[in-house]
Parts: sequence; structure tokens; C-alpha cells
Amino acid sequence: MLFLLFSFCCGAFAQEFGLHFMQRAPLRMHTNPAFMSERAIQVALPSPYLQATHTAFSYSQLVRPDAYSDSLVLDIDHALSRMKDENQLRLQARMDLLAFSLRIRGLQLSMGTALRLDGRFTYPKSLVQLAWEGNAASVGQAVNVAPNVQLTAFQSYQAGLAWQISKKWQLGLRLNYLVGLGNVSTGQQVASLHTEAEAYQLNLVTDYQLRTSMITLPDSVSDFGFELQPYSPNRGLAVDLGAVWQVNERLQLAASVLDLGGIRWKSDARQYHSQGVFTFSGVDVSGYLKGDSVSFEAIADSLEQQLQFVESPTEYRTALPTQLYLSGHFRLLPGLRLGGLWHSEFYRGKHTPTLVVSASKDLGRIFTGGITYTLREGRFDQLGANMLLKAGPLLLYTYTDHLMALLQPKTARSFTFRLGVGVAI
Amino acid sequence: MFSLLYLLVVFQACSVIEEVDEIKAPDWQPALALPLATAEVQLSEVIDQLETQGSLYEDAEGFLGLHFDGGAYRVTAENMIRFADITGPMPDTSISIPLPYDGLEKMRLKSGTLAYSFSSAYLGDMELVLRIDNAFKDGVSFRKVIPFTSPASLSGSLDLSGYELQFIKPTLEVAYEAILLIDGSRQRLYDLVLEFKGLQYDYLQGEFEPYEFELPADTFELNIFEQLPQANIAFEQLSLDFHIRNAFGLPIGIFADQLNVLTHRQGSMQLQAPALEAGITLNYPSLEAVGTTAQTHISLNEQNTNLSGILAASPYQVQYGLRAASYPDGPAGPGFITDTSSFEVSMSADLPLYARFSGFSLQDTVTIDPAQLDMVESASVKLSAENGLPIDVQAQLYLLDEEGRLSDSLFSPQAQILLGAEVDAQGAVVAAKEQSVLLELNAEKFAALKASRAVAFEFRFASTGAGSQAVKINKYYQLKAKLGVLINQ
Repeated sequence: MLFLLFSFCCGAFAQEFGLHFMQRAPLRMHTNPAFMSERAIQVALPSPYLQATHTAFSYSQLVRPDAYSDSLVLDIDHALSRMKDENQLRLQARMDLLAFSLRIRGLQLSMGTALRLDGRFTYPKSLVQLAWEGNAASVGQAVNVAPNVQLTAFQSYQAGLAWQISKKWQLGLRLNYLVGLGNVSTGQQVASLHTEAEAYQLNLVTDYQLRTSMITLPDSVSDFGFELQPYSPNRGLAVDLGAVWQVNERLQLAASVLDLGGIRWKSDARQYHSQGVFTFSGVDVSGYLKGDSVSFEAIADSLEQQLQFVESPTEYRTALPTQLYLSGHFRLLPGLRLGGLWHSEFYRGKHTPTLVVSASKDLGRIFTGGITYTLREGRFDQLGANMLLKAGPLLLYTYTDHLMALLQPKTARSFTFRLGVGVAI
Repeated sequence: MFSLLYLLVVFQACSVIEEVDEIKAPDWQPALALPLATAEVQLSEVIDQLETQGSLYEDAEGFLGLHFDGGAYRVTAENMIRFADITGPMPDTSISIPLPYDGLEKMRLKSGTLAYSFSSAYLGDMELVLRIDNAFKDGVSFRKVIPFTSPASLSGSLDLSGYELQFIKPTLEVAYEAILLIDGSRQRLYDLVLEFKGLQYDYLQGEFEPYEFELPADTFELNIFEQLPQANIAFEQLSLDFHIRNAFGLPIGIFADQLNVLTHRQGSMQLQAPALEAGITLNYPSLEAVGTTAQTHISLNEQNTNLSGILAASPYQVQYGLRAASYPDGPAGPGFITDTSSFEVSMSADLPLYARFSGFSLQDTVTIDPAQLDMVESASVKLSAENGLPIDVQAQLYLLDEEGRLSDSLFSPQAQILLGAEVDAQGAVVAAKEQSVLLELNAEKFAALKASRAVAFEFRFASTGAGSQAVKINKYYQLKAKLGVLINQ
């Protein structure tokens, strides 16, 4: 239970590069619905997946030894030096509760259900810089302070069909019925703070929209509310498509498009919108000079009124991040395979590409081990490993895209881990 | 093996979680630029807050001035012409009794009596008819009949109120008839004596004797600001005005016997007003306008006096002594006097706020809590202003220790925080002055500030050009200012 509880921490749309190259892993079909099992029946038991990424800095680049003592200190300056204009903290988790596939000759039926959670917090460097260094250095400039939040939790019920239409071709289709469990997402995200050079007047320009469903925005962190409702009316559909081309005995090419679809949020769906230009020029003492009094309460009330988010009920739709897998698998020698994968994620107008190369070796019929090398988001140090152990019908498998993150998590900026158990007959 | 791997992950996570409690908070020292205050004020909105002697006024263009009102005194006709009782024995049946004043044309009596006394030795009933042939009431001349039985000695009085005496020559034309009724014969009463008593007029018309009125000396205060002695101020214009309301129907000339001005810088100075010294004839109502008043305004200013030189000495009091006399230019034809005739003299002054000034200051002291400044290493204050007032402002902040003694000042020299708006040759603002001033308090000064217990503010004001230019003050002048602070912690 601890194992499961710890694993189930956040949700995301899995980028399972290691799994894509594990030919005998029951959940491999997640990455391409056209992948077919070697066995007639495969059952995947509860299997957790976790990925955490911070594009800006690692733990050890933030928490560093103090120069003058033995204690540790938050080194914000160093962390800032590692940031780019836009940075993202990404947490993704998936718990495949149960998956089942049945292969009859050239057809494979599959079903399954999973809990999925994806959280992305994108923040501008300027926001952290403003909070840490103050606004004195940005007098006369507009500073972007708008973060972007995308947090989605849902349960998916999958039904898939893979069809070997010829010796060389396999096609796959999977329908995902989605039940939305909770969402926080940013729509319009304009918020900039301008400190005027004239006398440091503060102008906050906003066109910031936040939408939530089944999540209560708190007045304080302790009031954050989230209620899990298994029968939520938030529903959606997504489609996965795949194709596999066996070019020859050694070479196989595969392509898949995953998560084409989205969820419509209806339950307790709200929009919070702040729009306008809010200017603070200090206390207006004109009244005092004319003999009237100056009310600081009135100033505070005015500020609060100006910055207020307008709340309104609204239904809205969010799309799932669409993934593209383009891969090639080459059997170099019996039991030795090389592979290459081009992965693209398309989400909210952004495209994130990743290149993975892999090599895997079967050691008898019991053990398969492999390594992967991932190039992603400017990082060239992600060496991964995967292994699968077959004991009779029982399959145990695990992989990580970043081996060093397991051994030295403080220095890692990303971490991926999948653990799986299955039965194949 | 898989469990071991998983435990490795959990162990690493737990060690991070434990370490979090040991992380020291960073030394957070943001540099902040914040707006402090803003103000947009038109002078018309703060005028009521100004404490001055006198009252503010504005001309058609909105330029301001101070108006001062002095006291007033009144001069009446009470002592100008008085009639004593007139006694006229009647040696004949008609005589002309001379009046003490020549030149009278009319005299309307509001009170007075004609007393008579006589004796008669005749026998029988008689009638004494007394006539004043130039006294009329409702168009009928004075004629009274006094019956008596002779022989007799009689005396009595007859009321003359309401009669108008008309004079061709300055005499009372009096006649009598003593009629013996038995035969209607006219007799002589040799000891008949007539006396006009208690004659009081309510209207006199004619040409009167020249008369000199007694006018009291008076003073007029011009104290403008309490701090005037400490400030340098030189006004460009001043108007001292005499207002005379005259109900006498005859020419009266007014002369200045004494015009002194007390000043802060040069003591008593003589105000030379040639026109007033030579005398100015007051306006007066005509014979057709009896009962009305005519007004005369006499204005002394820098154009008809030596006020220009006196203004530079900061005047605060005018001492004046006037003299008035009727017929200053000689005979001027008939006029009138009533029993209520008077003329009233009052003085006022208009002082346009058009001056060059310097040395005005405002001071205040505030205590400070050094604990509130602990986090701050240095700071700078930025003032951006669009100054439509023709006033320079300098500021200085003095640091005071626990004993209240001066320990340091923050600016050296004084900080010029506002420059006055540009003015033309007539002192009117032609363009507002836009400026931005950065007052920096470096670490050393800030440390001195933190070590002190109070700060004394002093703002010094001067007209545009550090007090060198004479400026006018207009109620539409505007000041826009924004104040911000940049704090380094």
C-alpha cells in the first residue's frame, strides 16, 4: 500500500520511452495500439508510473552548503542563474489499475483502466527574479509575472483493437473514455508589472483567466479543497492510433498518435477572470492638502477591488497533450536489438521533441535488459535502463529514463520510473 | 531486485524530506521601488487653508490679492450751523430781524417757538395779529391772532415747527396788528417783544460760511503673515483706498495732514501723496438729490505716491490724519445741509499677491523608530513634479539625538525639491516646470538616520529664481507631484 500510495502522487500523460522498447512488457501497447503481444492472454496488474521534471534547476542547485557554515541554505541567486525565460515544473503520474489483452490470430482486443494525473506549472524567470530581487532593477520595464497552471486528474477506460492486416502491417485503434476528476487550468495568461521610472508607480496589466472544476480555490493553502468523485459528470473521449510496418525480418518501423481528444468539465466548473490595468501611485494626499482626511482603509479597499477576480460558472473543455511516437527497431543479432525513437508532444501550441536511442539484450528467456539514451530539452545526460524478468507466466519489469536520478536524485532535474507486474499466457 | 530498486527511490526521497528541516532561510534583501504618494492640487482648492490677516480676493483673471478693511468714522453737521435765540423788540408794526448767517435761502424748522410779551392800556376787546411774512407752511404764511381784553399784560409762545423760512435777504420779516374790536381801529403796542427760541432746522439751503471739520487721526493695519519679520518679501503693488460717503449738499475738500507708514525694515516712512496733500473735493448731492449720498474713492498707489519704495521695506501699518473743509475752492453756489447730513470716511487696502519673496519656512519634527529601518541599508526618494506654482521649494532634514540636539543633516546643501514655474515680466506663470529630483541617502547617511531619534523637516519657499523674480499668485495654478522611494535592504 505504501508502495502504491507513494507512487500515486501526481498525474501526467506518460512519455514512456523505456516501455516502448520493452517488447514483452504487457503495457507496451500504451505507446502504440498496434503493438501486439507475443502471448494470447496478457494481464497487467496495478502498475505505477512517475515522472518529475524541472527544466530550470535541480535540488542541489537550489539547496547548497552555506559558504560560512555547515548548514544548508536556499541559494536563490544560483537557482536564478540556471533559469531560462520560461521554466516548467512537471509532475506526471499514472496508475494502471488493470489491463487485459486477448489475441486471437491476427486480432488483439485490449481493455484497461488507469488513473492519470498531469500537473504542469510554467513560470517566467522574471516572476522569481521579481520576488527575490525586488522590482528596483526593472524600473521602466514591464515584467511578466503570469504563471501557467495545468493540472488535470482523470480516470480512463480503454478499449483497443490491433489488427494484423498482413505479414508486414499492423494497425491499431484504441478508444479512451475519460472521466474527469479535477482540473485547474489557465486560459488567458497575461499579467505584467510595470514600475514607472517617473516615481515608481506600479501598473499591473492583467488578462488572466483561471478555470477550475471540482477544485475549490482557497483563501489560504490550508483551505485547498479537492473532492474525489468517481461518478463525476465531467466526461471526454480520446483516440489512440497506431501502425507498425515490419520492413523485413530485422527492421520494424512504428508510428502512433496518442491522446487525440479532451475532457469537457461541467461539475462545479468555474472561471476566475482578472482583466484590466491596475495602477497604484501611492497615497493620494490631495485631499489632505485641501483639508480633508486621508483614509488608508479606502486605499486598501480600492486595491482589493481592483485586483479582484471575477468568478463565474462556466463549462469548458481541455485537450489532452497529443503524443507522436515514430520509432525504428532493428534486430542486430538474435536477442540483441537496437532502437531509435522520435517523440513529439503537442500541447497548448507548444511542441516538445525528444530523441531516444536504445539497445536491449535478451539473456535467455528469463531476463531482458536494456539501456536508453535520451536527448530532451537541452539535456544530454539522461542514460536510462530497463529490465524485464519472466518467471513462468509472471512478468516483472521496470525502467527509468534517467539512471543517475535514482542514484543521485539531488542532482537530477528529471526522474522517470515505471514498475510493472503482469501475467502472460 | 525490483523492490530494492523501489526502496532506493523511497530512501532517497525520505532523506531529502528530512534534510528540508535543516535548510536555513535565505537572507532575503530585495531592492524595492515603490510609490509613496501622489497629489494634484489646484491653488483654489487649498486657499481656504491659508491663514492670513485680511481676506482673499481674485481679479477677473484669477490673480489673488489680500483685502484689508479699516475702521470708519463719521462727521456730522451738528456743529456746523447753530441758531441762537433771536430777540426782536417791535418798535414799529413791522420790522426786519437780521439773522446771524448771510447767504441763507431757505430754512425749514423742525422745532422752535415765537414767544411774545406785551401790555395794553386800551379799553375793550382787542386782537393781536402776529405775522411772519417770510415763513410759510403749506403755502400759507405765518399769521396768528391772539384775542385779549385790554387793559392786559400778556405773554405766550407760538409753535413754529414745520414752517419754512424763505429769505430774499437774511432777515425775519415780522409784523403785527393790534385791533380794537369795538371800532376796528389799529393801535400800537409799544412794549411788544418777540423772541424766536429754540430754532432747529431740518433743512438749510443757501451759501454757507466756510467750515473746517474736525477729523480724528487713525491707523490701518497691514499685517499679512505672522512670519513676515523672518521672511523677505517685497510686494510690487499696493492700493490704499479712502472711501467717503458724503450727504452734505455742498463742496467739501479733504486733505492729508499726516500719512506715515510703519515698516519692518526702515521704521516709519512718510507716504507722499501730492494729490491728497493738495486736497481732493468730495462728490456731493445736488439740490435735487436731497437725502442721498455721493461717494468718492481716493486711491493711493505706486503710481501717484512713493509706495514703490515703501513696499520694499515691508509695511505693516498706515497712520493717517485727514482734514476736511467746506468750499475749498471758494463760493460754489447754493447748497444744502440737513439735520442728518454727514460724511463717513473709511479706509481699505488691496494688496495683490504680486511679490518677490524668500525665507518663508515651514518646520515640523517627527520621531522615528529605528527598528522600522533595521532592514534598510540605503534609500533614495524620487520626486516627480509638474509645478505650476511660481514657488521654489528647498528641503532639509535635520537629525536629532535623544536630547533633541542636532547631530547631522541629510542633505548638503539643502535639497532643491521644486523649482518654480516660469513667469513673464508681469509675474504671471507662462509654463509649468517639470522636474524629477532624486534625493539619495547613502549607507552612511542612513546609518546616521537609524542612530537618531527624531527628524526635523524644514521646507523653505521662495519665488521663482530663488526669490529674485516677482511673481503673481493665481488660484488656477496647479501642482502635480508624485513621490516614490527606492529601498535597498
